[in-house]
Amino acid sequence: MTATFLTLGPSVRGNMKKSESRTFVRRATVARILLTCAVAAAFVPFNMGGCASANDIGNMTGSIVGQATHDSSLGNRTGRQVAAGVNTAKALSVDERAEKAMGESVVLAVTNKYKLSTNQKLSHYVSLVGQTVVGSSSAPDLEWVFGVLDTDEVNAFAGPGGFVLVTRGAIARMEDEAELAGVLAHEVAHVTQHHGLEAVKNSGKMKGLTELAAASVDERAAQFMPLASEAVDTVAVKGYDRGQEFRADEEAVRLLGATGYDPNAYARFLGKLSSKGGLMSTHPGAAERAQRVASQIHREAPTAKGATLRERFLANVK
Amino acid sequence: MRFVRKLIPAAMVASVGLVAVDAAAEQVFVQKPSAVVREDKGNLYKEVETVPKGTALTVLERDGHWLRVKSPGGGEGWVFDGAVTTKKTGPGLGDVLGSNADAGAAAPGAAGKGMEPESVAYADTKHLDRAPLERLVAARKALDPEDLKRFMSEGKVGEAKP
Repeated sequence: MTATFLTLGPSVRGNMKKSESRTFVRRATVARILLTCAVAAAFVPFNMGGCASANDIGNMTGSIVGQATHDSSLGNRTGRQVAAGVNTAKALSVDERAEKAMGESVVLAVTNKYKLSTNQKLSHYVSLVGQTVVGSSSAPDLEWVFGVLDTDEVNAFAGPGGFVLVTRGAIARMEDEAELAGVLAHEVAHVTQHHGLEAVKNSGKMKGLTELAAASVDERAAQFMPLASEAVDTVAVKGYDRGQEFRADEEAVRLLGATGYDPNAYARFLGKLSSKGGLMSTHPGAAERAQRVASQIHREAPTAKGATLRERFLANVK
Repeated sequence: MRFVRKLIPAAMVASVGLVAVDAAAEQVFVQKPSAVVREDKGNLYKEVETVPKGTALTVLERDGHWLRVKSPGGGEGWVFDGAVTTKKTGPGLGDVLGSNADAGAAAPGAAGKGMEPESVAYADTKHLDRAPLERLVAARKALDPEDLKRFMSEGKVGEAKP
């Protein structure tokens, strides 16, 4: 019956009574919606490779509907509705993709400013410590990337989506593996708590992002530029805000405990930074942070010991 | 022939029973735009399959926060519990397409490197060398999960924590 209603042309509908015509239109609309959903759903598995754009799917769907109903204008309207629906749905996934793109942009900017360390042994060791820490995080399934920057500056950076970089200068200030794990855990926490994305959203520059779904690749790239710049500015220049730093410290202490490292090592490292002054320019307030971390350890794990692994640290960094 | 006639209904009953048993197995649904099913528990293990949002996965085993699952396509492996939920989720048409859409139209040179087209464009606009990022990603892919296990075991940290 549905197919019959759909295939009746305008001339036949013109001979119906008014009430019959209204009923016909209503049923045809319902049938059209059901058919459109069925056709669109049928395309989902074929598009798991993700090659079709919203417009492609809209055009295909509209063509099928138009042919089935012998009504090309109906097909066109349906196709536009489907494309609009896909675009709206696409916007829902923007955050995860945006984070990865922001993280890549941060790494691009930072590794072009500072250069990557060519010390393979050190880089491998840092990656292993980092991967050990993320195993206890809330996102161990991210494709985490760890690296060492070849600079005497004392700093560490977290790129949204799972990128963590620490400087040779920061490692030179450390005494053992637990201190390294603490710094990496702090950066991992920035990622798992989405601080980079939060900072970009707070800047107001994300407003246009929902429109990206309807744009072409070139348009999206152009609209993404200010977001990437904001992410780079936050991570590599301004730093995260105080609240974000405190929350990352809290999470770092928990990660250290969960991973079996001595959380006191992290408090010790922050204490060293606060006495040096001016170090880790994107992580201000080291003295206050050291005190807060020490209080947290005293409160949550006063008898915490954990591994420090000084010998393994020295064997890999010297 | 009589035997075959009796066998058919018995086979039908048996298959209904099998379906019922399978239906009773725990199911979880992918809640992120996509979830990666891996050979073992950790992001360094080889990918078995990537499944989109809404996919129903049958839980075969649980180990901490990791679930050994079977996908509708028959693939078996481990997925992190943060990527799934017990509540049925929608298929996420846009999520499937949004994560990979226009992959075919990605900027030249980015294909196979896994970079988002937007960050490729950012690098090109700012005249940034992409090689360091590519080296970092390559180094990550070269990490041996068994190497990590040994590292944790020797230090008694991570999954080897006492």
